[in-house]
Amino acid sequence: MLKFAAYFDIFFKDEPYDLRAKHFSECGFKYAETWRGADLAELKLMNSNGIRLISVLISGTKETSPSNPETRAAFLEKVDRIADNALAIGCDRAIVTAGSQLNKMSYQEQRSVLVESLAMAGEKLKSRNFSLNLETLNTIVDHPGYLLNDANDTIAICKETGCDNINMLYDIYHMGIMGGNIIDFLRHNIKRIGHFHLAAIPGRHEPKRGETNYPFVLEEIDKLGYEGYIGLEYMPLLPHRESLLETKEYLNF
Amino acid sequence: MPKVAAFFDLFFKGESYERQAELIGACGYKYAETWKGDNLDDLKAMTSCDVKLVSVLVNTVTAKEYFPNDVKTRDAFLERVDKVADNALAVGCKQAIVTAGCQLTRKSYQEQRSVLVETLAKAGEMLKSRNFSINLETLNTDVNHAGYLLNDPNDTIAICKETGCANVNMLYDIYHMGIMTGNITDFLRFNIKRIGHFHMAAIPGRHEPKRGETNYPFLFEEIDKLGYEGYIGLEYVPLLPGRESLLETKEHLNI
Repeated sequence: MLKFAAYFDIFFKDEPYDLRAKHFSECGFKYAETWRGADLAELKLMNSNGIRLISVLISGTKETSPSNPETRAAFLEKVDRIADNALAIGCDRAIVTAGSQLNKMSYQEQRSVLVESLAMAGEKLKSRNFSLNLETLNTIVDHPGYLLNDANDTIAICKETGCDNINMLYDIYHMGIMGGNIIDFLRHNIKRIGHFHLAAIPGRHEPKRGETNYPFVLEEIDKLGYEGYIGLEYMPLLPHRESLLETKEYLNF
Repeated sequence: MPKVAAFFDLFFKGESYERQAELIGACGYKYAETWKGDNLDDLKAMTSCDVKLVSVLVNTVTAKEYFPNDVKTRDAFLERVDKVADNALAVGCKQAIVTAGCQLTRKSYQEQRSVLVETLAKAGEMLKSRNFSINLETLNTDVNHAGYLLNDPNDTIAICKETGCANVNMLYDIYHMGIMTGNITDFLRFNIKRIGHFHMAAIPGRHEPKRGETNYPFLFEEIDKLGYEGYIGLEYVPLLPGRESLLETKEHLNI
């Protein structure tokens, strides 16, 4: 059975974290994830009321980009700190973003820096049993200027790090926009996918309301033996409880 | 809702065309299309009962004697367009699919594209007074049709516009384009006016539309909302026996 995670940063946003966790539990969820990570107190609040926090975020901002040699050290420090925070509440994985395209470096140069930064991070986290999932985004609709938009190249980057704990976050919304032909890709690359996100195309709303046949895609992911989580990173149109219940019914979990 | 056409060349294949038409009609379908077109008797047999033939085919993908992207075969292509259009019109069918040809060695994409635009402009001009239109096919070159000239829907729309002919439009095959680009709904919202025909099938595998990664009921509704008035052809390779397959698809698409 696939495991689905609600999102602390998207649902019930006006409530304190522990109350959000309570709402998730009441909607029948066991897992949730977050875009946060730097503040341990927050993570502790999230990991409560029957909800297990299963993924945090290490965002490669301008100051902490892993694809810029000048910010690599800051990136690695951030990885260190957030991994320890996550591990303190029993969460063993984080999403990492790759950073933006820089004016004075070619794609190949930035890609080389990225591979090295991730290899260093992977090496550092190995003994802690912590893994990183590298995000690839659509650059057509939502994220022009982000470094990675090609799913095949992201898999190659993960492999080139030589670290088993560096894998791809495959966001079905982003990759469905950039490439289509999702299942064919997954059949060949599932072993290097450490996390999934999903949302309807177009619009990024409830998964039911878009051009992707999610029940079919998820059945396929299950058949492929995927054991990780699938995060509901979508922007709800409905009131949040109704939205999570609609999605739960649609995805049949 | 959009009008859906079964395919003579894919369903009930061992039967005569007359019988195929009856069987298609018995599944509740009112429209059908075909990969044939050069033989009027075939088309007459297909239209022997109430099922309406809505589209024929001018040239198959690999028929290099009629490539519209090669100046050497342009005249043969235009002759064939002429003949197939007349055959179709004789049975009340007002549109045909054209394929663009395969990539030629020693000619750049831009050169072939220019020839194609000119050829299609001539064809469009020739057919205008007959009220006949042609729909230009774009294929996936990743899985099924490596070497085919057109795989980019944006460029195909541009080509149709450059002909200056309102009767030259795109055949948007949701299976092929879903493989090549994804983000289908967004494309359709911007380009529906230059889409003259649709095909569909499940991704991956090209089988029954229900059995794939595309949410076809959603797309149908969207295409309907966009005011599309043409047909959607079921160009898929059935896994089920023909009748069961057409009934499954009818139910899935709620037609």
